[in-house]
Amino acid sequence: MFNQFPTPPLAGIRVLSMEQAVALPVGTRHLADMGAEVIRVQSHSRGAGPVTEIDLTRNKRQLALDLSVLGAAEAFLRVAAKCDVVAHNFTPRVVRKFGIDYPAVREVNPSVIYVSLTGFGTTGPWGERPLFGPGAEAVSGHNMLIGEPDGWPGRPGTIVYADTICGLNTVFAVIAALDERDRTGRGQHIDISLYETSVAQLGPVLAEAQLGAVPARVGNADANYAVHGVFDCAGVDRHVAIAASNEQAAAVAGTFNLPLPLDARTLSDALRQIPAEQAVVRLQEAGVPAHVVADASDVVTDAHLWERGYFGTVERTGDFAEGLYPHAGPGWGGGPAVPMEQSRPVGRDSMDVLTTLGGYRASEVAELIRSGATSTGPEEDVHAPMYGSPDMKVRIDRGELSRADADPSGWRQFSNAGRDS
Amino acid sequence: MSGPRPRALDLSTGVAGAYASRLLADVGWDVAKVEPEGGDPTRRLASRWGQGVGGAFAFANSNKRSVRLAPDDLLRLARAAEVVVGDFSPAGLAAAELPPDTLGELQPRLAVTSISAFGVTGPKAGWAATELIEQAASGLMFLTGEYDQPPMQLPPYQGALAAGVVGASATLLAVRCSRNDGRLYHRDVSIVEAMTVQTTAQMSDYVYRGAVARREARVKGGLRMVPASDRFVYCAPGAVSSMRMDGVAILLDEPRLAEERFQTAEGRMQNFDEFVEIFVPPFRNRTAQEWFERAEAMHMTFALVQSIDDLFQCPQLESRQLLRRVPVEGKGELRFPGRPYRIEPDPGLAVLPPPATPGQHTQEVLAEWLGAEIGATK
Repeated sequence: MFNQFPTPPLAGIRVLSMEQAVALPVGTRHLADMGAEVIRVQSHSRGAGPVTEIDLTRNKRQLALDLSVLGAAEAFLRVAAKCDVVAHNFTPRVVRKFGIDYPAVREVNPSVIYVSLTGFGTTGPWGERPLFGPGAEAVSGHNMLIGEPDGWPGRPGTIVYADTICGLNTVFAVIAALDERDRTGRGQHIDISLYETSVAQLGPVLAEAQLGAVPARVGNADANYAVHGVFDCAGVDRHVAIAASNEQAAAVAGTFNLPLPLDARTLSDALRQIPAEQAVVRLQEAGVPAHVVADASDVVTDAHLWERGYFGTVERTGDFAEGLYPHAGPGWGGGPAVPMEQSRPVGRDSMDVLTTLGGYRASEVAELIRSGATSTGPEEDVHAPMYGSPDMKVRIDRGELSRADADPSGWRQFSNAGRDS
Repeated sequence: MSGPRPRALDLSTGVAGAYASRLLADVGWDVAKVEPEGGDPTRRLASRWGQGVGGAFAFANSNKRSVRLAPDDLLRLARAAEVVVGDFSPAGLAAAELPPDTLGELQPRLAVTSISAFGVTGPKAGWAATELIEQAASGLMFLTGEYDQPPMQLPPYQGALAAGVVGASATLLAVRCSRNDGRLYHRDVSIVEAMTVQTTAQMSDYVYRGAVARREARVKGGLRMVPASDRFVYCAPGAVSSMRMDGVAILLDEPRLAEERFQTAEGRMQNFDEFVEIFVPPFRNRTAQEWFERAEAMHMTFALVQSIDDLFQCPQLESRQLLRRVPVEGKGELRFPGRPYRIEPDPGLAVLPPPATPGQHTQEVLAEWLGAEIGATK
């Protein structure tokens, strides 16, 4: 019933993205996964990024430009003239300075879809302020709602939650703009920000606050349920989440042979003796919403996700991790649309992009390389290890990790399942 | 938008599908929301904190018209629509009071998008779920909370709203394909998967290195949000693992923070109690706003830690008009986010209030969408 796209839905769409950090690279990665040709622009003078960028640069072509060097901005505009979407995540002042703001790009490409992804939006009293994802989570109200009532504010756990949410919203904005352009022939300027997309994620809470709710930190509680929480289970850092309505409380008690009315402490004591997976199976059999609080190893070995084709695989060569590895998209209702290609070194495609799209002769590109405006990059990309130390014991001692598995290849048993393999 | 507005029929009764179709309405689609006999259960949904009944409904269903339909009219309206959005999992169909074979019966012009907790295929398709369960299954909750405590839920509706964005995007991708080849597309969006994608860095850390990332250690946590004289301020002067303290030492006028042992994560960890004793108290001397401005002058990226109340007063949101003013029947005017980004040139689309009663617009939608058909059969 649910079909794969026979051809990638964004095939034929070309995106030029001057991108750093996480939000915009995540957004354009999603576009690339759906078949868009994404040309990532980054400065060669900045050097290779950390290993986390493997996730952000897969399936992208690499154009190196140092916009502070004469000729680079012109090169950007000449390529931008041949693209459907042009995106950046600079502050408004910087794109004006380099001469690549919306009016400048629209002049060479009248129907362009131009994306400014900023901290607070390109206008308004905070419009020129820089902002990073973790700060966006704080200023947008998320942190004040995470944690125990008597504790300090918490934060969404990935470090980049505001970024990845903004990336998803950017995908919607771009696809909606393409749809609009197909019907009207007109382009547009999408002015999207970390702050506003994070505030939008609290939209229902804002409405509820005006109807009598008092949003606050309440731990894992929810007033709509009789049992609503996260419970320690057998093992190290293993937990189960349970959300049972008043009607379901008896089923929870029955599942673990506990007396009614169900007492939170008695339930906690019972669950502490049981493996989380077992508790979940028994609760789900009784119709009670429950799930293991999944860690990264649970997620990548989830038979359900593999069977649904949520994961694709990418063949990696060259640096610290050789071989076949899984990757995930958001599941646009049916798995990735294109075969995955691992990330390429900064500048690897400069010559090709500048000659075929920019209309430069090879000798002119050579001149741009000599002046430092562009670069064809290093032969091999050199990535710093993810999150600093490669030593797992150090990371465990720091409290960064729950554990380190010597063999993390358990997902391979599932990798032949799934509809995209 | 020129030409006829494309139409979406929204069968969903949760927040995820409702938000997906609202996003379509926000970019100019004509959206009819089908409500079951007793009305969308979201109308009766209270907040996590109790109270606030109907807030989520108002947010996710503004800009739509509500219809109540006999089964035949449902299929006829679907045929008159470009897309249908709904939750076609067993639980979703039950909540919407729709028969199990509904999916196979619907024949809109371009696409059908299902948005459900685990998706409608796979071994967990029939599992019971709530927002808490979706957050737990996604891998995001395991990373959230205090380092020495069990994982902590995020704010409410995070999975539902992320899935709404994914669902709206998936729908438009299907529309794009269908306009090319004329086929009817079916998309199967999962709320869990829309949240799991937020953790791809941690998944990579595991598959490449075997690292099972967990909630932040206190050496980092202590550096995130600190109480100023009036409220918390977010203080992260740089990338956390490599963060130095010498700038903060100047900002706080606390030279001891410039000592070498506080310049690395390891050093702060080894001297954690002493570090906290030196680092935290000076923040009490000024307001969060004052620290934010002083840090900004020194090119350190602090942030205000705003509450929901603060958002209603925020000059940036006001200037950007992010918060839409929507009259809600019996509840006065509410302010909540509209389309989460700005478009230039602004299409200046009108915004409808959330439908006051189930089926409020049944007759006008039937007449508009089926007008030609009704005329032809007479």
